[in-house]
Amino acid sequence: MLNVETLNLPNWADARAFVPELVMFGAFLAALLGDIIAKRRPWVPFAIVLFGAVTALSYAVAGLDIQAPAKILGDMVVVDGMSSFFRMLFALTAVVTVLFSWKSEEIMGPGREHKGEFYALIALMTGGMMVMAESTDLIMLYLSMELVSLTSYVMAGWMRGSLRSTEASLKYMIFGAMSSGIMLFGLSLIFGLTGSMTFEGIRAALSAGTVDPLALLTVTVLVLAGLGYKIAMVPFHFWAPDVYEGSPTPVAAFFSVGPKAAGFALMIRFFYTTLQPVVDQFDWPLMIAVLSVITMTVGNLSAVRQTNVKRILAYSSIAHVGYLLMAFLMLTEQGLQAILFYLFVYTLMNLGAFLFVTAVNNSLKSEHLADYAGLGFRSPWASVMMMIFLFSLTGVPPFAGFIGKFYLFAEVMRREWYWLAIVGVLNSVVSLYYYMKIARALYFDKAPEGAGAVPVPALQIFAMALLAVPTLLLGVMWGPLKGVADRAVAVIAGL
Amino acid sequence: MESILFYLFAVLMLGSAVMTVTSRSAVAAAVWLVFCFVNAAGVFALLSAPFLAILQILIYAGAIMVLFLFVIMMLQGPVLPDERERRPWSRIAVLVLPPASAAVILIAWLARGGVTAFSGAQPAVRGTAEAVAELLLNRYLLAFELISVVLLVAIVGAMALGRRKEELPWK
Repeated sequence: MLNVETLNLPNWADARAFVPELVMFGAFLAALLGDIIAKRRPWVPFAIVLFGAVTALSYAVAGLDIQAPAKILGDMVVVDGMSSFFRMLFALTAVVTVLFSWKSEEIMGPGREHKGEFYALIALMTGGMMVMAESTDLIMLYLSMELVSLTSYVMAGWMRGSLRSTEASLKYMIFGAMSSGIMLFGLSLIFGLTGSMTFEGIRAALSAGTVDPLALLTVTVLVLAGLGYKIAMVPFHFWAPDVYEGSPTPVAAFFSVGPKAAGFALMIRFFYTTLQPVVDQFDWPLMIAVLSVITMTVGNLSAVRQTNVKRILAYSSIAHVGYLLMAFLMLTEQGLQAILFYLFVYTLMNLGAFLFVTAVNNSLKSEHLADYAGLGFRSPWASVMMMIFLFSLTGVPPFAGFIGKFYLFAEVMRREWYWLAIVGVLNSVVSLYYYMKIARALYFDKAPEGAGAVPVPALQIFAMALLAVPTLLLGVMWGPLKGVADRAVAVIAGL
Repeated sequence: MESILFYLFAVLMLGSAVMTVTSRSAVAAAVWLVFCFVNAAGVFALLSAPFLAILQILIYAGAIMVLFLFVIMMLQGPVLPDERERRPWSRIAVLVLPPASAAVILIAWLARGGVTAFSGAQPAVRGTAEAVAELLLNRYLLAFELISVVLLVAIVGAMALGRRKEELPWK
């Protein structure tokens, strides 16, 4: 017989700590139902999801000064500073993406279908990414990743009947299934080696030193395959350019920041919690350093040859994963602080750059660099903000990207990996070339004869400004955000 | 005895998994997959998780794969030619091996004292329906709920992407 008193059932206290996720999942269901009840009025799900994302955002910001980590819902997830930080990041991404999709031809244009479900899926994916960032158990790690992946496959293929979109969806799914299979194998081996499903239990078992270093290395590589796919790390990056190019542009913008940041959050949770005590017992730093160098070099060198702006941005986002991995080298607190800070800045600027492509795509109907000629004068406001994002992505002062890169390189220098820092700087120089290629097309290339203005709706200008203004401000006043990132890492659960 | 059975199941499971992906006919692949699931159930039974073993057979090998076979037969995918002539033994194997391995599972289960797990003689046995239920609604409640959301998104996605469309305005 079950004894009801001994059952540790989830209670209201747990539910209160889980509000942003519940709101996002609730918004998903409400948007689906709302879409059915209010037939063919896509503003209903739009409003529901926007409201949900803003609510989650405010909850997350209010939770930033959390003092003690709380393990909730049967110790499956933990709510701590880092959870709040990523909740804020994902909710912000969702707000901007939802606002932007409303005026995007690829989603809302005449003849497009399932407009309501699109917003519902954004809500669901946001909730899934939040759970990813707070998992403390192998089961939650896998389930939350699958939730985000499955939603991504659907959203990548949203433009039914478009061959590119279908190709993107299928490629994403095949790569995803493959890498999550590899990761699952690694996870089962971890359970076999340590006898524990929770990250803390794994950490304790590894600290005891009974696990063979070679076995540990094997397992780490297997798990990295799954997580590396999510963050588009070389050599698990092959899907990224095709998926970004084929997906509807607002979706590509969402993919390039949301799941990537969630993947990093999960990497921090998993590897920082489990491997940190044994990080010098096997070749973890060297492995990450090599992966980082390959990732940024492949990303940057491939971006140079592209003529499609979406593909340039896709390869550039791969390169940025390389920069981020540099600080993951020694699994130190300063490194994680730098990663969190850079992830926030990266979200602002990369989302912004992709949204510019969406904005001009509405009337330009092209993503090719040649067609961007003279856009600086045909669509002045959006182009000025695009320049802000491009400079910030390059990492020149006084933009936020510079500060973010500075902290990343500072961590590498502090750990005395000088050759890695040099490679990183050289890569930044390469990236300057292709970012400025876009800038040149915008301002120095002559627009074709008779080319009119490219209007951008006010709502999209507003959404871009939501990203551009902080990108500028954080370049001169980064203290508050750095403080938030530092606190988030300080209150990281389980340690 | 136990390790012999384990390796037997493991080899059969891996072998049938290989056959699943190399079969030229979709129906044969599906039947190989059934066999693979039955062997997985055997491994579960060896781990003294009788409830899981039974569920594995009932749900995966039984319900899901039967549905799968129906769909494959209804869609009539291309059966690649010359299958029958080249590999007659595979047909025999499909017919003989599943019952055989089911018998092996039964023996293994009896050898582990699986029957007593239900008779109440050993109340501390793990992996019974009660133990699974307690874990599912207690410690793993969130995971359980999350799976339902994952399934829901699969349904929504299938509906959104797979529904028949009257006209497509863009190509």
